[in-house]
Amino acid sequence: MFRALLWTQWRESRIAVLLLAAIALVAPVLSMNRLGPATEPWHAWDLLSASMRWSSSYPIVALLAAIALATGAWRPDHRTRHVYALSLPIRRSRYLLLRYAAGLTLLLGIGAALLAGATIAVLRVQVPPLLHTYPVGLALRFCMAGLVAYTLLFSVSGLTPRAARLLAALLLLLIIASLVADLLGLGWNPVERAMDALLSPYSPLSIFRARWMLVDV
Amino acid sequence: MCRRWGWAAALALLWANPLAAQGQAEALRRVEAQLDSMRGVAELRASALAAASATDTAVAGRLRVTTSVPLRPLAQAAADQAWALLVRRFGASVTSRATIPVIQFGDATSSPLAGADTSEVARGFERLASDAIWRHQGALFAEWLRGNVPGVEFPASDRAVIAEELLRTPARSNRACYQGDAAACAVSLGLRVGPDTLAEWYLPEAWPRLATMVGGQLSGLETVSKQQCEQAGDSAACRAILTPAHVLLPVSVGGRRFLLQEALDVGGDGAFERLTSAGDLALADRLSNAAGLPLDSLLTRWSTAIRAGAPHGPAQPSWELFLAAAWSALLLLVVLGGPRWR
Repeated sequence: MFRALLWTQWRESRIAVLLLAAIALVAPVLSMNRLGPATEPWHAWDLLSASMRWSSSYPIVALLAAIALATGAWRPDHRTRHVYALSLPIRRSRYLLLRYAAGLTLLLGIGAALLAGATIAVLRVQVPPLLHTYPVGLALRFCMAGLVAYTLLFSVSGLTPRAARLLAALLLLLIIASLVADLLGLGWNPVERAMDALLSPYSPLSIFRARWMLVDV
Repeated sequence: MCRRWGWAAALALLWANPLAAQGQAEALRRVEAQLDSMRGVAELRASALAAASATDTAVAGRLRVTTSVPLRPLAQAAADQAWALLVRRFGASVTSRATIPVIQFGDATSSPLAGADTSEVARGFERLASDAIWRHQGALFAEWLRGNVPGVEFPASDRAVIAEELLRTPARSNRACYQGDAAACAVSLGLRVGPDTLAEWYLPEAWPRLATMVGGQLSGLETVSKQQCEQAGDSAACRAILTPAHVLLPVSVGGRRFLLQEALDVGGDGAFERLTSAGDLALADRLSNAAGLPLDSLLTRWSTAIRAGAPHGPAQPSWELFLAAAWSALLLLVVLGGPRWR
């Protein structure tokens, strides 16, 4: 059954998965591509600058992968109004777990592509003493960031229409409240607070805030 | 206002007739001193205006905050907090003598903000007051810190930036400094540098690229030197453009500020007074006196703190990864426990 669901997931999101896996494979290699010889005094400068410049691309790929896989996981069920799922002689939770695992497998595939690309990239450059390469650490953070974003979006995509409407209403209310707060000059903005909460150190998305450096101190 | 300062600087330059005979640095120092005194007058004027436009005043020690009646409780609480922070940081004897301009908090019609954070306001007051205290400590610190007075405490997270700088900037002494060599740190931080600062900091191979980083307003001669250094690597041209005022510091001002903070933290009571005591002491001696330690010990301590604050790769801290896994598990449980299909 898992294989069947994995196949469905693959069919729904294969273009996005292949594209993102290719980006994940190529980005680290490209980031270390135009570096001068290691004997040059500015080698460490160039290496760290390149690492820093490309560091924002990894969380973006993780987020895009999560979006593509989460929407792909639910699309067949939404399209067929869950008839296939309801016809199966298994519990809802087991079915959802299998669907979730199918998306997760593909996410790990993209993570593996990043690990391969990062390993190739660091093998091609000579790293000055006292600097370190982090291909495994980068891939690990990528997978965990992808995991949390994928789970969050999987949960939102799987909401019942009523719950989705409630969520949309809540968001709308938040925006209206923030507009009213601005008009009244309350100095307190609910949208700002919500964003702060979402990116606070203990929030689900806090994993996206870090130094995603392939080469670092 | 900027335009007025610009005119003032230009007039001051014209007025300083024997400029040609003196070194450029000396002339600039004199103009800076004049600008500082003019800034002081402007501050006093702003203080007087602030005092006139508000209707109430919160006082804590020598900290005076003019504000509106509704804002006064918040201003008073914040001023008390700020004063306690200032006394802890600079010592009672310094703060009791300090000349702090009146701080304006809102105007006569301001009303309290919902959810205003007293600590946040207090930090703002503390920053303004400590800026004023530092600005009165003479040119030695202003020059070493390149005009960036340490208004707020140096955040621990910025140590990672200094660690990166030490290993990224191709200064000769930086790597040894990162590994804990105090003498190398003294060079990197500009505390023990000989007359040939450029050669002591950087290898000649690094000079052309350093020249590309020189920005700001350059004279015609400087622009020519910059181009010759960049394109031909002409060492005389490089020396002409890569003066201590223009060249990239091996460790930025942040690192210097952190050393100052370390010296004050280690020195405890009276550290700021020892740091800024009268007399013709060199900066290195002042830092050593403030910390109550030999300079090398202070620099080793600084280097250790920088290494401790260095980043350890994207997989660290590991609790962040566990937190992500925990959030994922929780969200998944919520979805799996959902009541229905659609």
